[in-house]
Amino acid sequence: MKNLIQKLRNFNINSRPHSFALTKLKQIDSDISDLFTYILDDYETIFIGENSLALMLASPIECVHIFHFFDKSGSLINVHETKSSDFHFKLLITKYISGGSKFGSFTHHIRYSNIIMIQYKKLLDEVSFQHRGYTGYRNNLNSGFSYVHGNFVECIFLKIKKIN
Amino acid sequence: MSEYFFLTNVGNEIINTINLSKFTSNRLSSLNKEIRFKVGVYIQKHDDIKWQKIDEVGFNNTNNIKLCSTDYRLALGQLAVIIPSNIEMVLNDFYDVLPSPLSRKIDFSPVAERAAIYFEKGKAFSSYQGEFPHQMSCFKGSFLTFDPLMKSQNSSIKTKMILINIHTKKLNKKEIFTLNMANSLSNKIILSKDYVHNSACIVDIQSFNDEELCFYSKDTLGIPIFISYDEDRYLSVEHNHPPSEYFYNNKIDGQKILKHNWLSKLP
Repeated sequence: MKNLIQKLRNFNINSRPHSFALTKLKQIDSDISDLFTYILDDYETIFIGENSLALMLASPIECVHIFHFFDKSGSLINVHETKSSDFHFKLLITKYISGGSKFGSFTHHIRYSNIIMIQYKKLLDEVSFQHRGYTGYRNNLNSGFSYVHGNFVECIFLKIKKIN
Repeated sequence: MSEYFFLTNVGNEIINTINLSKFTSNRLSSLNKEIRFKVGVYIQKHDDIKWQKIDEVGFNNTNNIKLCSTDYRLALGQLAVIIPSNIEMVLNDFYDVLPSPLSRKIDFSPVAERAAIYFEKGKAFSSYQGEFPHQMSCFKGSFLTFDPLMKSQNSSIKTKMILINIHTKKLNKKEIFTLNMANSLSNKIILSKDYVHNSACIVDIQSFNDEELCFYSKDTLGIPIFISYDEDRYLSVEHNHPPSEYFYNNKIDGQKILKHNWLSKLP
């Protein structure tokens, strides 16, 4: 019994704000991004993001990739948007894109046109997308990128355009 | 959930090492206790359906168990499956059905009990945190992944896509399966490679510019690992997210729809 109480207490303390179990019970009306990091001080950072609906339908569909860039103190410094219909979108992060910051973090979200949203409404009502993505780093242009997949805390892009 | 681990020989003088800790990662700080376990190392020969024990290793008063592919003279694409087990458990020399791995969870942390999986070539090495879930090893399934980890590499860099397949149910014979690499837009197959259960299917890929690629098998599931390397000082390794990770809620249904849409189109 003591063990059970301990486990229940741990579960409560250790629960994430949006646990896997809760996703079965509660629909999230937004898309979720991992938090990624960039470093431009003698390094290049590249990000590979997914066009989630295109991947789900196995067919190219145009979307707007939206990136929110934060500086080392976590303040929002720039928003970058690009259109693409590729399954995977590649963004080489520059100081221009990061708002001049040499290192910090960013999120990735996607937006589809109203026509697409209406066309696939039934499907989109059933799922929420999450953006895990892949970030590559290198400090030698002649070398390859060392990639890591998204792993950090999830961020939610609410309809009121506020990052949580 | 409990997890198997693996070692394999991917060729080109790339050495695979695995490091298992007696402390569960991602645990609560209040539960800072070690887990008592040992590991059994089992292989299945290419045309054999029996698992054969090749090693049994404990911690021997250290905090880590470190195993290396070169210790076991693995053939190209051969897997050694590592099974965390109770100290008291007798591990047989041969099995038809591989024993379940010991769960090392000590709290409700949602992150899997992983090991550090290293690949090194010459002076270059890279690692990722990985595992092969026991649950996955009980199903035949199907496999689909994409090429994001191959993007924007120089033409001098080579990439290996490695499909790790572990199936622990009893086999009556070793069937031949096919892993395909196709153009994601035209769905045209670019290359195919045969593999069997309980092996690593290795696909060597040259630069494909910005062509979008997909990898699939309609025969079995598996975990994709991408190793990019040059002949000298560079190596990068990472595994792809499974398609279920594209979805925040309704992961299982989302993955089913996605895989159905792709696998019904692909030849």
